Amino acid sequence: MTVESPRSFLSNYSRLAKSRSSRLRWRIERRAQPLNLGLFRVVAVFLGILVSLAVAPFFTSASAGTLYNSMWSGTLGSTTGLENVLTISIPLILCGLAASIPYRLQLWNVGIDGQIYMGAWAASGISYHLTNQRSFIIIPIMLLTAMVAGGLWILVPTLARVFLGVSEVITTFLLNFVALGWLMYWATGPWYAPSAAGGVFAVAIPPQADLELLNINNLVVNWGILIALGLPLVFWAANRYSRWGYEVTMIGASEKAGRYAGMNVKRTLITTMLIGGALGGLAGALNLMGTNYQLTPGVTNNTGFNGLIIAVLAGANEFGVLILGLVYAVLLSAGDAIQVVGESANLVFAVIGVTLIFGTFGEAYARLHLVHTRPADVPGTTSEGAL
Amino acid sequence: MASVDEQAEALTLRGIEKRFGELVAVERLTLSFKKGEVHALLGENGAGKSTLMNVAAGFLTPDEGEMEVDGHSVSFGSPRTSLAAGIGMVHQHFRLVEKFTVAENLAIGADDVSGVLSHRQLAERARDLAQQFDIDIDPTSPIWALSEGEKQRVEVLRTLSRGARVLILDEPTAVLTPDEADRLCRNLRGMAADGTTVIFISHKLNEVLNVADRISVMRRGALLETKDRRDCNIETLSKMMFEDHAASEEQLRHQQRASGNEVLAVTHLSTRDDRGVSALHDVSFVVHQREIVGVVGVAGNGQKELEKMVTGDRRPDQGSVAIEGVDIDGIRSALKAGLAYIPEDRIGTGLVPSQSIWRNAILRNYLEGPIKRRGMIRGRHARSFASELVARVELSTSDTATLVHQLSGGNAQKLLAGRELEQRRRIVVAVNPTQGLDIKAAEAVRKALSEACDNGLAILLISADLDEALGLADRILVLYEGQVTGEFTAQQADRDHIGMLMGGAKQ
Amino acid sequence: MNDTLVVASIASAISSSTAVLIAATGELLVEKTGVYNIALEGVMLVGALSGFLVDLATGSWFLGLAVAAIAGGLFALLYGIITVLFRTDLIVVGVALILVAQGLTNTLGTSHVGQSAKSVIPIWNVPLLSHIPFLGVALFRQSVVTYVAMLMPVGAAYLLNRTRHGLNMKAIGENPEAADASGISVIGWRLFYTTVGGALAGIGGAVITLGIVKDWVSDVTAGEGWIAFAVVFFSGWQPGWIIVGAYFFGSLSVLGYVGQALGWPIPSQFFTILPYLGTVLVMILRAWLQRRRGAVSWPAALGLPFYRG
Repeated sequence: MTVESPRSFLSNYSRLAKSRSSRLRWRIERRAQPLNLGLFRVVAVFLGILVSLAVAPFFTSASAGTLYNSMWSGTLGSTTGLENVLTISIPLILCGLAASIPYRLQLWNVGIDGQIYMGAWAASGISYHLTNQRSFIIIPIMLLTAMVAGGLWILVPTLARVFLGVSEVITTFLLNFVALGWLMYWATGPWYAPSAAGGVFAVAIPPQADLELLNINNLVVNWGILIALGLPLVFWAANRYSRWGYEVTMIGASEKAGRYAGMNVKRTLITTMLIGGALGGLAGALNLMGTNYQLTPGVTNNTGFNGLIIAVLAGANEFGVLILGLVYAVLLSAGDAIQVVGESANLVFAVIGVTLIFGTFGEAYARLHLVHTRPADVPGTTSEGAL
Repeated sequence: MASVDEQAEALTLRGIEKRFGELVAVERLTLSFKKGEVHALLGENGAGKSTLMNVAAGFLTPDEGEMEVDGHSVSFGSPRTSLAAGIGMVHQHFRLVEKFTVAENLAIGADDVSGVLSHRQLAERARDLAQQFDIDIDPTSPIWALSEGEKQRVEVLRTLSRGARVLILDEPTAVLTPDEADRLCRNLRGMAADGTTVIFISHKLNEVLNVADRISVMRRGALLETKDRRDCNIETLSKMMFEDHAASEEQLRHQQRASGNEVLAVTHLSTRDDRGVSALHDVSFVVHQREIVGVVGVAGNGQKELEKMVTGDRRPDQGSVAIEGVDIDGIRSALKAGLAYIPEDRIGTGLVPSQSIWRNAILRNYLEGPIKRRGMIRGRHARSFASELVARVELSTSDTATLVHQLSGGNAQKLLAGRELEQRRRIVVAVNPTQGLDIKAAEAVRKALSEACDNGLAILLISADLDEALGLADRILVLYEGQVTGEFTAQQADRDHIGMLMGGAKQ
Repeated sequence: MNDTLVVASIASAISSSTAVLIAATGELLVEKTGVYNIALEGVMLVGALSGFLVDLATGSWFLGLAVAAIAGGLFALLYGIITVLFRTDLIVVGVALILVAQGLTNTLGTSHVGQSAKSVIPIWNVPLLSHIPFLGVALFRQSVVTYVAMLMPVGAAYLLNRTRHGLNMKAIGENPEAADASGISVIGWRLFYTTVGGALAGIGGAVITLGIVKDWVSDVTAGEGWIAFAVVFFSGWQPGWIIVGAYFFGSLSVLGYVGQALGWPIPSQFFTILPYLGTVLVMILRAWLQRRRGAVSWPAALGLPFYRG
């Protein structure tokens, strides 16, 4: 076929297109109707744990048997292990809630660690003025103060987000470091207490403030566990039955509809974030009063971040947070346990990391699918052959 | 120039099928477009026009089908491929970078821009292109400062400058003022005369008749017919678009009602739109009990602002809106005063599809007892309220826990209408309520509105569809460029006269 | 305060900002295309360790930096594939990868804790300029990489503002649909720049182990990745301000030490937190000043997954 220059491009191109299109092309697209997200997340998380635990022995010098044994006896296989799991789960579940409640409105509370620091700081500070008070006075006051501190700490990022559109991801996150600095100043300065073990510790809180231990079936845990197990239920009920919960549900699903219904969207956003901050502060206080007894940077160990991850993986479902919080606590406990046999806890961090990635893939699988396109074949057209 | 019949085929789509899950958006469709013609693709919302054209332009991948440009096969699924084949599309939501200037937007992805660029160079290139295609733009202005019409011109210019010989426009006049729309149509005819194939998606009959050479009507994903412009008029077209035009003749008759007290009073309303241009100017009218007042006009003449102000979403610069004598101030106060609102985006705004029926049912009254008590929403009362509503509108399911997105579109609309049109409300603001509905559903909505009105409600109908308004309203006001340019009772209403006023004629 | 202390402080501030400067420039490029790499700290760790190990094995700091670039790039590419290609959640994946990076590097590096780098990045005294009293001594007796690092933001600025490719890049980050409609491969370029940003962050990490602290300890990057991340936000996505931010934050930490040494009444933590506090305040201030404008100061599509059609 003779080719004129204005058409030559098109013919050349078309020949290329035909050859390219004769291969199947694959593409990632959104599903028209997402599959059950919750189910896929849960399955994916468990799969992730299984896979990474199965692969873990390859990275350790200890044998698989020793590894699994120590993990088991350090977590679910012994009283001490279970106690450890439950104790660790307290801040984890609270932080999970602190993240999941704002998450229902598509708000990210990445500053939970900072809220923990501030909550613990405030609780510590006020406890020094209440050294002569009885437990039933000092404890509620400390808890309350911690919640207020946490709420105040998240206030500026919240207002910046609601009124100026500034990403709360960055602002809440950066304030974590500021909170740590603040805590360090007080713990190494005005409240400094020398410590034989090394590390930074402030003056201890009065002993009346220590959370008492409960004895359930021979398991000894501080009663913070009641709060940790009870709050998800409380918030679940609030979501279902309270006006605030209803508004959060509707606005979270469709901000347009929320406005249409006359809801005060801004106020709901702010209130919800403040609750998240308060919960972070509460987690800090509970750690302070139940585990550390002294203000120290160790009052959180990336617990805030872990809480965020729990919240996202649980899809902001309160019971999901509860269960994932416990699972996470088991993993972290296992991390402590394997140090006994000489492995570094970093291994468990890697396990968690891999599990997370599985989790996100699970969710992606429920949302997306692969499509392939059939070639655009044109029967009988051979005019391009000569070129 | 050769007549339309003798022109070559510029673009052929063959056997195109596109499904979204269960929904078949385009069904085995075959259609050809000729070189140098203006071809209108007509159909209601949801007919599949945009989907089809997005497939041609490479933004969607079809499940089946073939495409040819100038006789050569073109593969699907990539805007770059389609653009290289000469197919370009201007969408309803412009794909422009707000921060960049016009010149920069024109340069994105372009091959004829040098590797190292200078802004002067870009501006010059922009001016050259503007001249070449005879489209007026300001090269140095940032996009966010432009009007919708200006943005569209930039988008069109960009598509043409990338060598598009087939230019597809999706509902282009939806965002334009009548002046801008005229200008666009003139430009399009000019381009067609130069040999560009213009494909124009629309659901507006008179516009299509104005500008097209050939008209293809789509309905529910299938191509009904392609006709020459000369063989069409408004009646034949709307007959094709809607299943049974005869039925719509009936809708022109309606009940006579004795209207009651004044419910909604709009007084000397004036306001500017988001860009600071005057959108409404000294608009005043009243709506009485048992009366339907229809405000008609082509979209973009101030309806959006009127809608926002009457529902309390926005405060006017001047004037006031009062419901039963009480000035409203904000959405909450409007709702309290008895406002009911059926928005244009019924399912996306008026309902929350991912939530259950009962949660949606109480959207209006979740703050009132017996549903709310002391900060709690009482599920039992909420659900029984929802059950009553569901029964009243004869919904297909009686399980109030069903999620709204599981309902069919028609049922969802019924739910919304039933919730809004109930006796304790005083005034209903309905915006384009039958848009996109099939005959039966539209009929049901009309009936619901009419009955609600008989029962004592006042209804303000804001509509871009004259027939819809004529079928329902007791009084019709014409809105043009922010002012009321005509007022008619149902008996006085003359379709042609009103149509002309909508188009901008003065009396 | 005596001259030597000032000079030493300035020199120290500049050298210790180098890693942040390089990583931040890389992250700027990534964010301009609309992706933020929350795992930056992890990428730097990966680069830090791999550079260190190669240095120990080959005795060449240059090879160390090169391998660090490759390792960092690959790690960031992994992040990119999971988030950009599979449209998963950036924050969760980012945190996950940091955990994986920490876990991996700490495990693989345990046997080397405390070891010194074999070959460190050499200092080069710029002829003539380094003899200028005071300023010359402070500015021009730095490691070779520091000089290159100073030029990187300039290069980035040129790329972004004066080239056609830069325009296309920015288009991807502002309105990927617009870029896609113009035939630009959104996913492709996002993956590319995520890798490039990762390579630069990897180099930054290796600069720490081979140039600044010159040894390996666990978590050697000590939060510099987060500072680099903050610098990008602080800078309002403008290369010029990246230089300001990186050096400003770097000097703050030095000021902290100096202040302690001189017994200033300001607690050292004040200087530690100032970068973060400063970034938050600057972001809020910027948003407030620009609230009337029609466009936002960040790449409009930052962090949003891209779907065609």
